[in-house]
Amino acid sequence: MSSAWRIARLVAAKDLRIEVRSRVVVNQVLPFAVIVMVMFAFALDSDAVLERVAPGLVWLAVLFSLVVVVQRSFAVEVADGALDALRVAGVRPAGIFLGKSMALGVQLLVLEAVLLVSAVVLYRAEVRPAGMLLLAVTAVSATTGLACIGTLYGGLASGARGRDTLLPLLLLPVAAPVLIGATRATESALGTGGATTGEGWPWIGLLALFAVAFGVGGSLAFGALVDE
Amino acid sequence: MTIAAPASQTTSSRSALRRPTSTRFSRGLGTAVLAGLVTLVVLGLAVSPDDRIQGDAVRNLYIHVPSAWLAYLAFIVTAVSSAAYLFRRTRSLAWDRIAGASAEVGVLFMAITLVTGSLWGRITWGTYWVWDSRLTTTAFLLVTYIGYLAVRGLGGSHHQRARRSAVLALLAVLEVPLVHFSVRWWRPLHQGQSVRNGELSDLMLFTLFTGLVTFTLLYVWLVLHRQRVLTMDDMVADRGLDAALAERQREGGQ
Amino acid sequence: MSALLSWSLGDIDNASHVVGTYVVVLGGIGLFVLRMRVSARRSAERVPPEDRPWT
Repeated sequence: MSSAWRIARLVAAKDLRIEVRSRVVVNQVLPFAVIVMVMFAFALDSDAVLERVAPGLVWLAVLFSLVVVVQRSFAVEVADGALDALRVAGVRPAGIFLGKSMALGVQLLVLEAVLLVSAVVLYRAEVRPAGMLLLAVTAVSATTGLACIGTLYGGLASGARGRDTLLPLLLLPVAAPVLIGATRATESALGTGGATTGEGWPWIGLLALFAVAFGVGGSLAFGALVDE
Repeated sequence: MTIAAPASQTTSSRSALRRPTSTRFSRGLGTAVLAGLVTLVVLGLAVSPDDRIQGDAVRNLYIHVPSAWLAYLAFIVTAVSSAAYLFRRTRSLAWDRIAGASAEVGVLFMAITLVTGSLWGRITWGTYWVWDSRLTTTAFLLVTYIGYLAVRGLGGSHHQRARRSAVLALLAVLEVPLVHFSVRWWRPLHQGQSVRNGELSDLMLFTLFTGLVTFTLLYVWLVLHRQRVLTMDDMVADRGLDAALAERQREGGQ
Repeated sequence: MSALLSWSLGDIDNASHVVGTYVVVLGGIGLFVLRMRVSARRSAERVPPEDRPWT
């Protein structure tokens, strides 16, 4: 277990270093996510509606960005057969899974922070001091779940032709519980539509359950999925 | 030409070409299914009475409920045979093909269930769709297994396909309850509508029962044939590979 | 069959939705079986009967 954990940290550090040097997420995915938020405003065209649905739009934008980031995360591996090399070297797949999930999670957290700020600026959403803790816990638990399924299905799709179109089809249905849970929890953290903070905490339970289920399931299944 | 057909073909070899996946058992089963379907249509559309409250909409139930039952049965079988492929040491591709055949049949009937359910909803609720947890879960199941079938079609060796899709089928077992409960929690309003037990007359219950039995047999018949077709497809692929290898070896020998 | 349908159509409320349901189900099954038979025959040309485990 300790060796899987060590591998996880090494893989995560490697992925994050690649991102720091290439800045693909910062220079390409972040602007994409923000433009999605602007487009939502064009489509919905009403300040009152935007304020009401702001939490949902934030998480929807996170999901769209997730697909792009996951594709990037595995394009890096497939390009020079790095994943195969790791497998051949006998590296435990659970370690690779956890490492890639962690790196993905960190990138998603940055994305979410930017999207939340853009919701405050563009949609007039308000962050209350009382909801700060709930908001942070929501982001962390939802991100953990999303990172796990992103890595899991990204790994599955990476080994195959036609992966670019397959990934959203596989990923988005699985992510639905996170979209529901994170949106409700964020609504109560922000007080959207008069929701109280207390209403949000039960949804954290769902998000945590999801994260644990796919964290464990992913660690077990990842090897079988990427093994070629 | 792979088959050297003799001048006078026997009836059995001709039927082996025209109905390549049929055996005496499957023909018997098919006949029973056909008889069952005709009985169901006659009972459902003509013989059985209107419901006091639902009127003729109850007639949809006799074919909608069995479709839904078949679809869920199909996915349970897919999950179980995927587990059987992964966890039995033989790693038999037969399990994988049963899983695949069952998923195809499941997708068909899940789609049918959604369409017939909407038609029923249009009559009784006045709307094609409500965000009920059962409906929504069914829709998600459909999309998930469409993805599953897409993954099966990705290529690679048979065992690659089998392992990938088996893991995916087991992950779906993880996903579906989570979707179901989150949707139920999200919109708790529409629970426990549709079937009101104990209000159907004996003839109605008999019709519904006929439907359930017929569709269960239909499921067995469809999967039986479909997995035989998949077996032949795998054989054809293997043969293509063998032929290519032999070709390569001949080239190397020259 | 068509006689049955026309008789039903006159007598059933919401006939189009009710009969439509039956048509969708039976039609769906029919299309699936048809597609399956086509692919079965295509593969059967290349797999001789003695190689099929069930014959």
